[in-house]
Amino acid sequence: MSKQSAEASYTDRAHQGLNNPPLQKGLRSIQQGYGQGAMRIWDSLEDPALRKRVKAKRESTLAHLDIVLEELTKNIQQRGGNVFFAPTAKDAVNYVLDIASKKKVQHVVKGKSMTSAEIGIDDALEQAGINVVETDLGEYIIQLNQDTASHIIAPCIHLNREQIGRLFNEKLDIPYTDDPPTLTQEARKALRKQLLSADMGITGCNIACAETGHISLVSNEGNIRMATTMPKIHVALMGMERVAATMDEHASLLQLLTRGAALQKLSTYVSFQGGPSEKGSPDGPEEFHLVIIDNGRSKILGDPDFKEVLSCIRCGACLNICPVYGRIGGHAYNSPYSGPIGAVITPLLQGINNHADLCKGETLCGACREVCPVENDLPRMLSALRHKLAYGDAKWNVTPHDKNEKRFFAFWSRIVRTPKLYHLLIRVSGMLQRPFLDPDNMFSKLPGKIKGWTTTRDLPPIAESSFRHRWQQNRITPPKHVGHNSQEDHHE
Amino acid sequence: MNNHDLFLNKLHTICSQNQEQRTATTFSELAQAHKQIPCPVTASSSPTQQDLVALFQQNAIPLNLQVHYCHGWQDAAATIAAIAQKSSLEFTTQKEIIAHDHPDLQQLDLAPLFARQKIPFHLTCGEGTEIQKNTRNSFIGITAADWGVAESATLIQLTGDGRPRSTSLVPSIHIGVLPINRLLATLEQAYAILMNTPLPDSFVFISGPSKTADIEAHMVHGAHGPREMHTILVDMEGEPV
Repeated sequence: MSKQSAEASYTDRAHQGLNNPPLQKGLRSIQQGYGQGAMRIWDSLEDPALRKRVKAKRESTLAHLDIVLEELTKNIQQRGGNVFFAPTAKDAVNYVLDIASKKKVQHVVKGKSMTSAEIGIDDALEQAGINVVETDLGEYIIQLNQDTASHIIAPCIHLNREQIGRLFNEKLDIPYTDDPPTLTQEARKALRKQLLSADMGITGCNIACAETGHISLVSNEGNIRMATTMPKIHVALMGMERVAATMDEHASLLQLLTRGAALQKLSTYVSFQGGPSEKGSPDGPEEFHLVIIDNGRSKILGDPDFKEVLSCIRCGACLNICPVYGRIGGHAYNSPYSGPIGAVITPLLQGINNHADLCKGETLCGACREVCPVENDLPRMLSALRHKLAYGDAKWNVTPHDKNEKRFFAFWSRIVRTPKLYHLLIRVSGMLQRPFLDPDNMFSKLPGKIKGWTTTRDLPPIAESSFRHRWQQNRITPPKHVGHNSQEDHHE
Repeated sequence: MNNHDLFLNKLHTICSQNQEQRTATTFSELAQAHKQIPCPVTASSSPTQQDLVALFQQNAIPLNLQVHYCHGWQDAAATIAAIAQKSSLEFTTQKEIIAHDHPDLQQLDLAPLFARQKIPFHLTCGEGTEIQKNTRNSFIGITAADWGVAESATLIQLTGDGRPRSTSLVPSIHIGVLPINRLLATLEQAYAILMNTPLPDSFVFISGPSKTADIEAHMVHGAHGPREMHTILVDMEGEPV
């Protein structure tokens, strides 16, 4: 899906996803491979309580986030690195623009970062006349296609090799091929020039470590190491919660991250950066900037219902197992964060009413909670969001999402609490429904506002005579001499 | 109040409300509390050095990482020379090689070997711009590792004098050299050592050649980093250390 259709609704985008064969194929392959694989890894852990303990540490770190970030800052500054605290996306963007303009930056290379998409840094840099190139192969393809990512780890699973071949043929001016190694080699050549000549590298941060004063980045391609080694300036964008207090916490989070994301004991590269490179070094950045971003996270941290979601390490395992994401794909979520984690974090960061469909679209089946390396209870948080949408919430500025729905359930609640009214309604409905039933004696087309109930399924009719009614009429009698001849059956 | 203090004060107020989980008042208290909850992802073991070599080799296979177990420095040097002889060029038109300026690699005495092969050989010492140029012109980068981890076939390298980061990154082929007395069983053990080591601004864990599966989950080696990686495990039994 291209950026032009930013206004399409969740339902429209979900339908587009369902009708996109390359996406369906990509989703099947990633879910069968990675989602099931992650479950198997957790099941085979020698210590089944490991994830619980890691979570406990993670939550303890978040409960001391001020102290932890102060330590991280102190240790990075001691090495001559810069740390900037950005309360909003705009503050973060302005800080980066400011460095870029002071240092006359012309070319920026990026490592894949959802935080960078969240704050919209690419557009801002481009508007300032700066050339921005994504260097992760998947992100590069997305950028060439003027597209958005459909998976947080594998951004272009909605494109097949033929589509990518045509794209490269058109944009890179190379002969058409749909051979993945050849396509990868072409991107390698094109991006190498960019990576070796850029003035600034912008990356995210997978997990920082406060105790030692480093950020750490995982990558299989090596593009992130390039982007943090070759340009003179490295800017790392970090959501304020993406920090481990100590090295031992880092060790376990890192190993859960690479296992959850891609079933790897470690990714090919795990690189730690904690400041500018030492004077006289032939490579590494002369300037290191860490931008620690709030942009709505402190509000989440202050809410006992939702603070748990900040434990997330963005491995994407929940996308790889979710039955809803597995059908509709990532574009329906209309956010850099898709899948179950996106359905919780996007409304919290960008407005619950603005993204009301996300929490309603998920099924609350619990698969995401089971596969989560830090056992985040996403279904609980999805329910909490639904509750806010049903009743409104002043603290989160939520207005009741659907007044008619609310009225209907108020009416229904009244009825079920008044037995006489309820029985009357059932009897009358049983009689009045007849003209609306189709020849199979089912509802296949309900009218008006409730038509959605029958777009993908038929509903059975209301019984003309209810169980209760038949009971009272004494039409239900115990069966006589059914089956066996045991004595107990003959008690009439 | 500056932006930094405003931000942290706000967090302080929020975190202080979480009385149940907020138990520490200083970072060292928190770090102490965390160390009471060990979370090893894999069980620790104490295998022999030979077991570790076998484990490293086994775990390298799915990574497409080529491991060469060598007896002594001379054997290691001959192995490296053979790789240089048979490997082909990718970005450049002439074979050149760059190596970390490190005591381990000095033991290999590579210069005469490459001179015989007529391959220009550079060390990562001297002028920064010169090292940069040589790194970009080299098709093989040879690096010295601090530790190896058998369970994930990983090399750990601290960046420092004579050991820049681009040597393992920019050339098409990366050869990492590690004496097996610095081979560890688990990542947990490596972290335990790192925790007690003064850490530079940059260090890296490397487990195999660069790869991507972004196009239809089709695995391709050589995305942006080296397309090929060799790890030379040097057994120095009988050699003067």
